[in-house]
Amino acid sequence: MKRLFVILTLFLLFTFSVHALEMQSGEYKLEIEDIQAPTPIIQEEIKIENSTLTPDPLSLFEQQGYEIRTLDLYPFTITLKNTTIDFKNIHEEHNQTRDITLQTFHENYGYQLFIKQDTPFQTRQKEEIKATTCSNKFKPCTPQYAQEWTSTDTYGLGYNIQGKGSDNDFRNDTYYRPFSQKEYIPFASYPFSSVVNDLKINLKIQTQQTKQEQSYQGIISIIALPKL
Amino acid sequence: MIHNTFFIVIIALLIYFSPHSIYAQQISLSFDTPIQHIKIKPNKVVTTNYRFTNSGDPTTVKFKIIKIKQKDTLGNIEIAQLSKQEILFKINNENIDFNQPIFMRSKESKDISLSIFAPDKLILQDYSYALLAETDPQPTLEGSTNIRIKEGLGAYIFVTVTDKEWIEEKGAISLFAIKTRFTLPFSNMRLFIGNKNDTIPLYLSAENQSDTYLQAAGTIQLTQQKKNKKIPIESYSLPPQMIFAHTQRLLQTSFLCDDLNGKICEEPPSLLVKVKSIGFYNITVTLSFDGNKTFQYAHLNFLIIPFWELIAIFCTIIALCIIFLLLRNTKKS
Repeated sequence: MKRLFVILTLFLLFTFSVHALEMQSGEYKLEIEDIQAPTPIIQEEIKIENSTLTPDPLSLFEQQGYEIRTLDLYPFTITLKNTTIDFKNIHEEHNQTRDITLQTFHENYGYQLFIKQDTPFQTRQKEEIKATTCSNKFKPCTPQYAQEWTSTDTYGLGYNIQGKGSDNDFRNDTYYRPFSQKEYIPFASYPFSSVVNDLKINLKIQTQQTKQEQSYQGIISIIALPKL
Repeated sequence: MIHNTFFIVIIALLIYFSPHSIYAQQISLSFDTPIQHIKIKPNKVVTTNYRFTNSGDPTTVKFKIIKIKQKDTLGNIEIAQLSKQEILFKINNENIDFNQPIFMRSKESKDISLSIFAPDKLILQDYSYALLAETDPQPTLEGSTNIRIKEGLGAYIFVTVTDKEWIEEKGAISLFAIKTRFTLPFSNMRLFIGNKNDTIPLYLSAENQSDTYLQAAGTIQLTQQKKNKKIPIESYSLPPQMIFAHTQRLLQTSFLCDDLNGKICEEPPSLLVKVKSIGFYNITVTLSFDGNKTFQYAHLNFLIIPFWELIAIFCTIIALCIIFLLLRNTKKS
């Protein structure tokens, strides 16, 4: 009986180990038919020109009624290490923080990042964890401006950014902003970098201890655009 | 003994058949040519391509058009409300349309063929948009508490609607200045004085005087004047930087933010000039607009002196004079 108990314990120990590790794409074996769209039909012949090599844009514009200039010949890339951030049940832990890493790379140009809360962080019964107001009630944090959030009696959801190019108001890792549910808010901007830049986004949830056992879910949208 | 072996075999089998670790989804998106400027006559259609690649894990992506506008003079933009779409867009690829989810395999690329149409009665001006590729968040387990992230990547579409055959692309240097410890008026010019090992902020702004977008690029040269000879000290590159029509833009060198650590870059000068030795220096800026062969130049001079050493010598001389006078007065009395 004891052995059976030990075996069962070991089984549970090994089978339920779920890790959130960096993704390794090579491990996927997708058995899906090729659903790539067929080659697009080009309706008009396009002449793409480098801005530094414009032989005769005047004649091109005159003849065709348009002119296309590709002003940037370098790819712009954004990488998110994890797209789902799991939290423990709120009734188990009332103060939780989780990190996600965002990488951007754009040789020659820089980048700008914007954030918005797409759906409220709420239960199926629409019980919502609202946006934080941060520690100081007389100087609350806003979607545009971070303030210190260390007090244990201010509840809500907020985020902090650390890394090169993060907005100045995120003075250290205790400064948070609430999410905006209306518009995209810029939170980081970085000019001309020839290296991959890592930004750490820290999400914080703080709730009252009386919260009942319920699951909360929400969606956050992050947009990256090249810095002009 | 048999029991123990049986026990070990069962454990080994359980470990072998236990499910593998579950990995988090990684998303990596890229656009190959993220900035395009299109000049178009009213009532014309132009088709261009944007190559989009998913280098991360398989995901579904939706394409959208968003409107953007200039935010400040540092090249930052903001996302505006797309209330009325003046320019009309259409994706020509089969099975791809705006706001429709498309499955993208890992390392898959798609050439998005985008038609841009300028309606006849449109106001003749610049219009700024971005083609946005946005992922659909993964489905999640019922009963779990989580936040899912939608990742979006944009490629700019700058459209100039004009009926003119030729738009003059004209730019100018609107500000070229340095900030040293002291500035003294000297004849008809100002003399900038700094100390050895100072980092001198340099501010360079360019103005777009034309009716369309313009890119400014160039170099900044630092030279030292030694006996009628100009000795090159450092050359700084100014990468191409977009200026909206009839606006100004603070230009920045590519070295700045990699040299400094982080947040100073938020309100930066164009360049921080580092001067290690005393002497007479000259800074020259050369700018070209939209790759034109005509250049604009500006230059200024500044003097680096051993400032604190001079102050110390001056104070010592004053102190010696006072001591000398006091001693002389004491002797007399």
